[in-house]
Amino acid sequence: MSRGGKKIILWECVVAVVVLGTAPFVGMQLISLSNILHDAFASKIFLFLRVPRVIAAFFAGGGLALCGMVFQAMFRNPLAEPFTLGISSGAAFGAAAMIIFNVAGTMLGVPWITVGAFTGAITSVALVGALSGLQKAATGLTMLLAGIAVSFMFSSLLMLLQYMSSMSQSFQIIRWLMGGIEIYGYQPLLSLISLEGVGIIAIVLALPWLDHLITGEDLAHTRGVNVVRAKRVLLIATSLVVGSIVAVCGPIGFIGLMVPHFCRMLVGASHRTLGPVSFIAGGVGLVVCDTISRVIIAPAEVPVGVITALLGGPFFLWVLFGKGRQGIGNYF
Amino acid sequence: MNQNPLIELKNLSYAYGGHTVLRDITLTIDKGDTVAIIGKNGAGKSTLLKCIAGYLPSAAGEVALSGRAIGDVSPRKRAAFMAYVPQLQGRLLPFTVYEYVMLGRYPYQNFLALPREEDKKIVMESLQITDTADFARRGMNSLSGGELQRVFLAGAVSQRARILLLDEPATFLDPKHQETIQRVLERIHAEFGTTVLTVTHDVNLALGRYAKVFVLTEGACFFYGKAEELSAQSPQILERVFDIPFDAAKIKDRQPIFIPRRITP
Repeated sequence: MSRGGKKIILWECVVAVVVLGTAPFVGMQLISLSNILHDAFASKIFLFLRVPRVIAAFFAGGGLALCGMVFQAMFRNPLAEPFTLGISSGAAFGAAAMIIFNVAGTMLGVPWITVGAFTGAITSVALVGALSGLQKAATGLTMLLAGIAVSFMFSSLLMLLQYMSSMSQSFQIIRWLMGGIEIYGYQPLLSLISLEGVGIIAIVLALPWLDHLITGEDLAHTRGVNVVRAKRVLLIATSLVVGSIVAVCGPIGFIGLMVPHFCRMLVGASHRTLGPVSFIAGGVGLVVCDTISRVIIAPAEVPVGVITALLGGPFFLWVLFGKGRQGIGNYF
Repeated sequence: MNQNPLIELKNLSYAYGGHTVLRDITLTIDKGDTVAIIGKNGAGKSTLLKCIAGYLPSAAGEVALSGRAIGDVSPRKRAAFMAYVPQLQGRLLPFTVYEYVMLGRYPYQNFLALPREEDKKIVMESLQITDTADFARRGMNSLSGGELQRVFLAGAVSQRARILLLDEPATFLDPKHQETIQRVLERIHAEFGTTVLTVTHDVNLALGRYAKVFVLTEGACFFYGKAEELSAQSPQILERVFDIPFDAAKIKDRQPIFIPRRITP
């Protein structure tokens, strides 16, 4: 890891501690330390609503950024993002099916909507993976196209479901599609982090492979990387991470596409550095966006997906086209 | 002492989508050889190189590295045995020169690929032998074609493999940089005793600067032997390879060079 990389990670950690430390105090109403100590209601909101929500936002944003980085390297495509392989349409279809068929309640403490979304997400990736696996020489581009096709299929199925649904169900689906981190207590947080954690550990161990895959599969092969195995491990790991995030938070866009680019401009593409930098940046970014979404039209909430793109878009365009910068060309 | 040749191909054939690209190629390459592979566009030169690199496992026939079937050699062992410099066009290279050359150390590193002191030393040596140390901290995207090609060479040299496979390393370069690349290759060959296998379109380079030449026509071996032998049969034999007559020209005491004859309509 380069010295500059270490420095940036250190700074990021400082920022992360500050943001994660203050975010739970901010909300519809500010909660002060004395509130927590003396007001049972405030302390309950703080402990069971805001703290788990901030932690969930951090892990969701971090996981999305990390997986966006993995896909951009694996498919050697700057437009790749966590939802590229149709994972969000699959999840949306799964969630919508649960909403429409009125499957309420929980399975082992996990809401059925979450279970449906996770199943849909994994199904779409498994479909793309199996289809590409049929062809031995399937390149990244073939896989991307297969993902887009699968994505369209699930989107159409979703539209069909919406068409058949009642007004209130339809609204519920649309609200789910906007994404949001509405979490109460630590049970959903635990199911998110445990599944995501397994995927993240696998990705961390696979980070060196990404340096090679991004230069081309032929070069990676002759450098001693087992390309077939590397792609398989990365595909399974990312679908675990993105699947568990999308199941709990819905499809939160933008973070997974833009954060890796932004970080690559900052520290370069050596993935042992870029991985942690992207994860922390994505996490902090989503915590900030989620906090804004909670306060901007309080007492109501704006869906966080709206904020990520509205705030992140101009910021990233500024990064891309700001004075003295040369777009993405020099970095990817 | 291992008496097996470094690389041995037996009856290698490769077909892609019903189209035969390579047919029945048998070939041995010994330690310290320098071999140029020439042939028309589409004759199968790059495919042959990829088969030797083990990148096309569906090929029929045998590829053996020091007597062991390539499929039985682990990816890292194979990488320590041979390095590959592919064609450059359309690659994403979001690395600095130093980072890129360090990638060649992968076969020797632990699972997180953390650079050790030895790796840093070998990377520096590789940068020096390819004259790229001066711009080690620059981004790959800011380099000229000649610089970039030398960095690619450095990335293969740092792999410390016994064989270098090169796919048209100088095709898009100006004459001076073509010569620079060739000199760097010869330096690597002299210093490390590396066996060099190069696909090239430059007939005179193949005949003049390589010990052996392998000629492919329509996926089959047309000639394999010493460059002087091929030179002695030229220019007549070249016409049969490239479908265009060649003239020989002699400049002072240099060996003859062969120029395709201009076809008047």
